[in-house]
Parts: sequence; structure tokens; C-alpha cells
Amino acid sequence: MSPEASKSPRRSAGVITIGIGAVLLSATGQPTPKVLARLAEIGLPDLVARLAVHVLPVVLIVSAVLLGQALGKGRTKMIRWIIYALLGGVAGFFTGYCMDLLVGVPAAIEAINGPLAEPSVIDVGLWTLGGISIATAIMVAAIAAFGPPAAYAINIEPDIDPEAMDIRKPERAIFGLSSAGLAALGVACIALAIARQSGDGATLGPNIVALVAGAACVFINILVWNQLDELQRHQVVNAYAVSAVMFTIGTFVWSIAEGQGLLPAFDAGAAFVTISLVQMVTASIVTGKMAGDARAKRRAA
Amino acid sequence: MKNQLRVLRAQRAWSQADLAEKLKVSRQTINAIETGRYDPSLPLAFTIAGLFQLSIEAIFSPDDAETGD
Repeated sequence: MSPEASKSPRRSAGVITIGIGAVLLSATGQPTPKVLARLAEIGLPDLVARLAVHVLPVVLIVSAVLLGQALGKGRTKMIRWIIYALLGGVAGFFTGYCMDLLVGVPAAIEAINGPLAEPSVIDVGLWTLGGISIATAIMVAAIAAFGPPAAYAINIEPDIDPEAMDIRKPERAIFGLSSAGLAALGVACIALAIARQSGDGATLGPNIVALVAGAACVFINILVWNQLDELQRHQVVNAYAVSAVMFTIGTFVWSIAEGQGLLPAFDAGAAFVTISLVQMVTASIVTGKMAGDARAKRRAA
Repeated sequence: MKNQLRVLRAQRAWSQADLAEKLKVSRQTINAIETGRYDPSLPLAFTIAGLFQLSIEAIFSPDDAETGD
């Protein structure tokens, strides 16, 4: 049976998955004191205020996805994902403003590694890159492990191509390797951030973890490259070429901002964060453009 | 380039994933070729032609813009 006949688009599945993720994220956090103080000023009891702040991220994140779907209807894939990114950014900003998320993580790290200094802009970039890499690794690992059901579960696109969900063993094997590479990159970034924020004498442990994870990431990426076909290799090369141009422009702008005292000195950590984030974005765009969408496929037919 | 890949695949009731497995490439590559987003390399074009037992010219043809017509 062809995939078209056996599968029907399950548009709401991604919204439900994201909603569950938002609930879990909210459960790891606690309301910021300034938001609680403001809510107390308007006469909200403490318990109600805390409950409201915990519910807010879930409402914001799910609303952002639903609004993105509504606004992106009938538009190109690129425009839809820009809309999702903008709305997601707004939801993320207000979530971060109202709640301190993952509150147990810094305490756990400090218990193992000792006290951490306040993060610099570059450290925040490393934490962000590490977090995105690990979150993406979990999603990719789910597709590798469970195949089409996992792909449907995280899909938020309204007009889905059933053939794109026909994910078979060879592809799942590459997904599995890619997820391991992403997870290693995430661990390397976070370990590097911890090393940078650690006091003298406490940097050796996280640096060793960063080095091992970084080496593992490179090794896994070589294995992935060997399994890619000609189109996928073209995409990797194109993404790196675009990244190089973006990196050149970015470092030029940074040098101006650095001269004005707006950004810290551009060290190796900054170079790593900048080029990695740029590569992540450009790789997504290059791959997305080549993958196309169901509407483009129908036009071609 | 234009191509007849989708038609030839449909005649054999193959999905994109079926064809990808036979050609030892990713399903994404088949989709990109069919939608005209990607022109295959010469070795892959020969493999495709061999699989369908047709000449390359019977499967792939230049766009009007490429021929200047």
C-alpha cells in the first residue's frame, strides 16, 4: 500500500506534543520574584499567582503554534517558519520574564563542580547552543527509534506530504547517528560554558568532558558524512558556504560593536558559538529549501 | 532540467522511498529531483536510466530556458 493511502495528516499531534513539552518545562521552573510582587500588588493571592504563572508558558507556547498555523496558512514554508520563529520568540521571552526555568540544574552543577560565575554573553550563547542541540537530538532520536509515529507526533505543519513520513531503516540509522552527534555537540557546548564560568582549579573536569564530547561529535559527523548521498552532501557544503559568508559579515559587525563596548572581546569561544549558531540556521534553511513542501510537490505534478 | 521520474515511478506503483532504496539514495533526493529542485549527477542519472531501462534523454530533458527556446 502506498504511503498516501495508509497515512492521513495528523495536524494536531505536534501541538499536543509541544503542549506536553511546555507543561514539563513549566514544572521545572518557578515564578520570578518581581512577577509575583506585581501580581500581589494587584491583589492576587500568592497561590493563585503562582498557579497562573505556571500555566502562562503553556498557554503562550500553544497559542504561538496555533496562531502561527493560522497566519501561515497558504504561505510558503519559509514564511511559515519565520512566523513560527517570531511568535516562538515572543512566547519564549515572556516565559523567561515570568519564570526561572530549569531551576534545579545550576544547583546540581554547582554541587558537582563548585560555584559558577555569572554567565557572559558568550556563555549564554554556549548554553543556548547546547540546549538547542540536546533538544533537537531528543527529537531526532525519537524519529530514529520510532519512525513515522514520532515524525507525526512532532509535526506542526498543516499541509503534510505523506511520502515525507515514509521513513525507513537506512534513514532511521542516519537519524540515530545524527542525534548522537547533536547530543555530543550539546554536551561539549555546556561543558565549555561550565569551564568558562568555573573558578581557578575547577576548569579541568568540564574541559575534559568538553574535549571528549567534541571529539565524539567530530567522529560521529564523519560517520554521518560517509552515509550521506550526493544531494545531502551538496546541502552540507552549501550550508557551510553560506555560513562562511554570514560569519564574515557577523564578525565584521561584532568588531564594530566591540569597538563601541557593546559586545565583549571576540575570543575563540565567541567564534565557536557564532559559527555554530549560524551553521545551525543556514543548514535548516538550505535543507528546508531542498526538501520543499507538499504544495510545491503538487505544483510539480 | 525536466524529468519523467514521477511518471515512471507511478507506472510501477513505487513510492519515493521504494525508488530511493533501489537507487541507494535518500527519499529526499528522489523528491528533490522530481520537483526540479535538484539535478542528479551523471553517475546517478545513468543509474536511474539503467533501473528504468531507458536512455538518459528519455528521462531527462533540458528546460526551455536552458535550450533558449
